[in-house]
Amino acid sequence: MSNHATQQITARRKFLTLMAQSVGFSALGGMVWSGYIAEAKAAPLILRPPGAVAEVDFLRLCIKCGQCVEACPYDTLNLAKPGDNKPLGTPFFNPREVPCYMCTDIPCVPVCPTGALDEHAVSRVVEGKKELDITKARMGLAVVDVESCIAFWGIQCDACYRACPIMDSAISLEYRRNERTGKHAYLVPIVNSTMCTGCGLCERACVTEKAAIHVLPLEVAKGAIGGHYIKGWDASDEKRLETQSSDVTTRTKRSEKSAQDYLNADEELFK
Amino acid sequence: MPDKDYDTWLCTGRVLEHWHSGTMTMRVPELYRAVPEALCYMHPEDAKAKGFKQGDMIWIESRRGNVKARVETRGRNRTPRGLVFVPWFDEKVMINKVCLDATCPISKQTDYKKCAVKLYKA
Repeated sequence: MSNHATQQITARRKFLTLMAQSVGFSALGGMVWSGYIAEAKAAPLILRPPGAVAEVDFLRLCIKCGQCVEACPYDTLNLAKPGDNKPLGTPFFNPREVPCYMCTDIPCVPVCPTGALDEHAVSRVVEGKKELDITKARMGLAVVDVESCIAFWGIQCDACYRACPIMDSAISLEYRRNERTGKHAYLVPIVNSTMCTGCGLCERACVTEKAAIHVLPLEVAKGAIGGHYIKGWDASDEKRLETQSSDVTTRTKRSEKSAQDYLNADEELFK
Repeated sequence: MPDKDYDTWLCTGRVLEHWHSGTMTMRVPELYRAVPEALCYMHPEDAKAKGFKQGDMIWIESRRGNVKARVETRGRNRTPRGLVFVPWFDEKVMINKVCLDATCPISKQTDYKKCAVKLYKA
């Protein structure tokens, strides 16, 4: 009898201890992971593999399988780890460490099982056949910090220009007269946003302590001028006038008041 | 002089970033980053004719020796057809092994500037 009672108590105790333990573990796990919830949402400065769809859709489509990372022959791509401050498990690259070497066969894209990396975005049609074209990738846009770029100081450096796989079209060197010395030239790197793939070979090559040219995601790097601006000196741009719709408005909320209302609001100037 | 077997002129020289054999300039981080290795600069048409692509590793061989270097057809140092240019600052690309080890009897000037070479894929 007494023996039976002890056995029962032991079983119940075991059960209770187990419960307490698992509650403890899950609480601890929850505490650890909750720290990473904020970073799991979005990172506006993250650079994605070639052919990646827009970031919002990418986060929905990417199943974090890591097949693109495995396919990359240069170990360019990484999966975001806890503490990287990037959506966990999603692929990204850091061009200053390892840039994208723009493989012509783009091994990272066709392996994507969900279409988060879109093969159409990095293909073109040649004579009715679709073939991969890495120059169509838009991973980001190289932006030059003209204050820390030594070429803008008048020192000849074309490291980024020479590193560019599509030299003379994505980065070109522009000659400018150096008025400080009166007899030298500036040879400054100019990035063409319609050609730059954002591979980051320029950022890798930059000679300054921290790269003076760096790749940013396109939506961060680019401004937008507004469709009603037309270059009158460019015949092809001026053609847009013909197709421009007439309902362009320059009225804003501020236009509702007259200038005088705005200047002399709530003031008794003439007593 | 170039002939049927050794069909290309090799010209040696310097690049802006490195002084002579690079013993000092290759140890300046910025300069090393800017030009980390000696490349074989050649005309894009020559490279195409020989079946080389930009960045390919090739052998540069003369009647005396050979070295390996990477092909560069773009950017600075555009060479005329029939001539390749290899700078000699890089201790990993010993281009002088290819050159003629002879001196001028009067001035004792070495003949490291030019010689005939053949190029093939490494």
